[in-house]
Amino acid sequence: MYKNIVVLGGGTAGWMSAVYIAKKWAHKNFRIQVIESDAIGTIGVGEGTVPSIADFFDALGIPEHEWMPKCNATYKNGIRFKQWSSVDGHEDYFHPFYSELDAFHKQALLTSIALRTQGFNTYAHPDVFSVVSKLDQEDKSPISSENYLFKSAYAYHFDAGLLADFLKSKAIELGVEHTVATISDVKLDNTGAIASIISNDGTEFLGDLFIDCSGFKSMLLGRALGVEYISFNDTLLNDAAVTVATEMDSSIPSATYSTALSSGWAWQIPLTHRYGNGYVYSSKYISPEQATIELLEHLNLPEGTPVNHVKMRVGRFAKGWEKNCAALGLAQGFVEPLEATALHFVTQSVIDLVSAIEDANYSDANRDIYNKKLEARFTSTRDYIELHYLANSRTDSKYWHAARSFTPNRRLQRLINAWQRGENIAHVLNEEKVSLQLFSLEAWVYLLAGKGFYSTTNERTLKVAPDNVNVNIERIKQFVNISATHFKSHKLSLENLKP
Amino acid sequence: MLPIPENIAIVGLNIESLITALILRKAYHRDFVNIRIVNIANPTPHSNISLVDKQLNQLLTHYEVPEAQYLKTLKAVPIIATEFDEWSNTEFIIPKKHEADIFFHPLLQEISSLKRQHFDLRLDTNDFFFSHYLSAKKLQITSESFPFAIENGYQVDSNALHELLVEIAENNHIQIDRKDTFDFRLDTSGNIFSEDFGDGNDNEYIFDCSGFSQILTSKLPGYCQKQLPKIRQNNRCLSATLTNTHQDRKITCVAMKAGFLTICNTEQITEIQYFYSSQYTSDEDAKTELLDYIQNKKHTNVASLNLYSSGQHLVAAPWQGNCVALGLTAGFNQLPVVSSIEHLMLSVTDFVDSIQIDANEDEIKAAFNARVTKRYEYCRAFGDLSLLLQSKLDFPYWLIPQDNTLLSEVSGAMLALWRKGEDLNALSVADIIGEQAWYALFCGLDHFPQSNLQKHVNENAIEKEVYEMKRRFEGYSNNFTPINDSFDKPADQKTIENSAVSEEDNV
Repeated sequence: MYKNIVVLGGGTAGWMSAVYIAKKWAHKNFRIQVIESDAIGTIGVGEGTVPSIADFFDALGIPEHEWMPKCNATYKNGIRFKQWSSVDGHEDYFHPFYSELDAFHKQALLTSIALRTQGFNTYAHPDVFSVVSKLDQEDKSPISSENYLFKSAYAYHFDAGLLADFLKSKAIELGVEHTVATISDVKLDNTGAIASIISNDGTEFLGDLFIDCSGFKSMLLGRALGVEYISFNDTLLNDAAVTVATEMDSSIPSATYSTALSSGWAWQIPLTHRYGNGYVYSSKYISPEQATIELLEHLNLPEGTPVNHVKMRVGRFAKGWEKNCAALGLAQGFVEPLEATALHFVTQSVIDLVSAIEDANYSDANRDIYNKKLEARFTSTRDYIELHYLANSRTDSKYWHAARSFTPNRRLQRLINAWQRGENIAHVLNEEKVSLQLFSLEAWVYLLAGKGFYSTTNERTLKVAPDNVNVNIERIKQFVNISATHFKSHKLSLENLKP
Repeated sequence: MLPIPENIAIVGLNIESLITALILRKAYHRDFVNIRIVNIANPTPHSNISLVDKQLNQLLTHYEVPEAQYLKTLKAVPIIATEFDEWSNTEFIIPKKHEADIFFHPLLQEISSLKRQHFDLRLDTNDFFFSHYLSAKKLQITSESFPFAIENGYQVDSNALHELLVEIAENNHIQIDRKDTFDFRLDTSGNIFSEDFGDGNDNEYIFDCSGFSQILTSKLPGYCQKQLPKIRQNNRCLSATLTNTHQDRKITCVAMKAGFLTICNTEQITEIQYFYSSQYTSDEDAKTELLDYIQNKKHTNVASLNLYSSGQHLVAAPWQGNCVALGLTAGFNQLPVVSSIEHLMLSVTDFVDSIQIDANEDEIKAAFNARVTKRYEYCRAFGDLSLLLQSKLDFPYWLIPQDNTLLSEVSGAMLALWRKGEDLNALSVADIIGEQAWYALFCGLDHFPQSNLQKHVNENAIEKEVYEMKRRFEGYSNNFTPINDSFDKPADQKTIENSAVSEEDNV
């Protein structure tokens, strides 16, 4: 029975795991320890999130006004992709998070775009159907007035280091023990499970369950238990990033911006006091120095501005939970930061882990179920991100040619074929059992339509749409404009959060 | 395939025939198709108020009549719901569809489903419809800051509408022949011909808009009425017209001793029709009851009282040969959840669509007839179930058990779905009575198990969701400005006068 839990690593993943377990098992008298090295820095690339993180904070009972100001957090309505497509009119598009307001015109969106895939001249860009996209354009928060309450799913941007500190204090309040130590050895028992981990000074930390949050090193799951690593670099080329912070503008955007550059893409994440910027690239196509120059040019920063360089390992371990060790965060795997899914994997994994253990009377009986669920999450996320690259239409560098030149897996190939034949991709997603939990049907449509990934791009050859198409685009535009007036400026919403 | 029309004759000069002509004129260019309305002496009772939906607005907009002008000319009052008073323990409404309601429909489905499984949960159906908030708070039905729309209808002055339609028709190459009598003959194929229809042209299509008279339709060789179950049949209608009254944006149906009232109003008049069964009350008692009701409700001057025979009917095959029965000619349901003009407009649109179908003539007509009669049957089923499932205990009319086994196919199917706890969308005809209306009816009549009730473990969570819904609706309603005080409440009491009954028992 798991009573003594050791979390290795004190980054965002480590403290998220510790505080969640401590909260959920508060009355079990379990011992929870976090072993954190002061010699290892946190990477903190996970500043952007997806809406599922709200469930995590809800489960902890921590309201926004308590944690957001302390973590320089901002709201996130979605992601705007810029310059990923060379198709006229599709130079950028927005991937909005779910909103009832957008759901109201879901059918119109799907009808219009389905007809466009069939060669009819209809509205083919998804932004026009989305209130949430409009909120991004106007730097508005996802918080509406009391006179216009509709359910929406939004996420956050935050300083990952500050969030780790905040969660650390919460975890310690809940009885989590914190030890600063650098681990140098791992002892296995005669079954091959982890018996203890040992620090540089010889201290031995015993445990029943070990949570590996040691980052890309994956000291327990990867190194000690030798779980197979599955690299994604055959399809996802990026393996490094260069990052730099810049000053915030007078208005705070409410979305992440992802701009395609010559050999990868640049993110811009708004925090309350600064932007977090980074250029994710493939070192095969650009050197760190060239990438730095390109990023600084992109941001209009002077040459010589200090930057940080990060190496990335894109892939996953074949099992996220082996023996008595579950890895979370980068130690579990990483599907590059394009859709800000890193912390989604952390929160969903720890939620799933706790449920799996509870359901099995605090044993490992549900380990295989957990691992299958995790694998499915990786598969659908990887598919979605690969489709970003497959559907790009940039022709300005070898990188972008290479990025779409790999052979798609069977699922993606079916999806692309169906889309380009004007068929319903919902059937393919359903038949291929692609999880729509993180990326809904609309998200797949936004991606393909937003990039203008149509088989016919010459508008002159399009057919006149049938008369009976029930899509009143003028009314939809009016709806979007009126709806947006009910939302506060992002900056004002953040100021209202301050105690 | 059916011939493309060249000559069209419409029998009867009334609102229904004029609307028919205008829909057809919109579909068929004047250079290629002649449209002629032939007036006839028509004893069909003439209602002072017509109930129309937004399709008519769209039609008139096509003829360049601005909506604001049309509504002002016709002294129009919107319809946002039909209210049922005294049918069950609480008043309930059948709302006009509001786009904001769709977010809360799943919750209504869930609670009603649980209640049908003997869970004891609180449910006030009206809370689920934004129309209810607009009505209760006396708010405008549109707002520049709230982009969700209501599919409201209008109560309009029939005489003003008639005049307006005549003017539009005459300006759009629709010939109107005013005749006192006319003759027609049937050929061996069952097609109708008449010299009175014009210049000796064979008219490919003739539309019978003669109302209850069914002047042409009833003479056709295959004419018969579709037999529908008789649930609390009413055979009389006492109609009162009141002036200087209040304005209510709901049509009201009130259960009475031996039938029900329907109440509608324009800006200037109110019309109350008492549909009752002469088996359970006399005409004199019905009159007394109606006048008492008017007085008790502090309504206003009674300008006229008229008595008619009234029954519900449905022509089994509205399209036979070259003759198409429309509107009141084709069918009539007493409960005004869907008006005869709405039926008519949908039927004419069906006709226009039918002409373009590439199929055998008989098949096209059969499909048209099935669709049109099915609409009437849905509406009839709606009325039948409201009369069957009400919970009144005070008068014999309402207490006499009805033979459930005689329910129509539609009524039976809807009731079975409800009782099995299933969703009601399987049978809905989307263009006439939506799923939401059926939920409103069954829930409003409180047709749930009343015994062996049990607590539901998630009762608090469900109540919280309902509370949140009400909070959201309250917020939405803040986007709307109040209406004129004269709406939705009775005016000061006025003396009831001029209450002599004129017998027009000729239908």
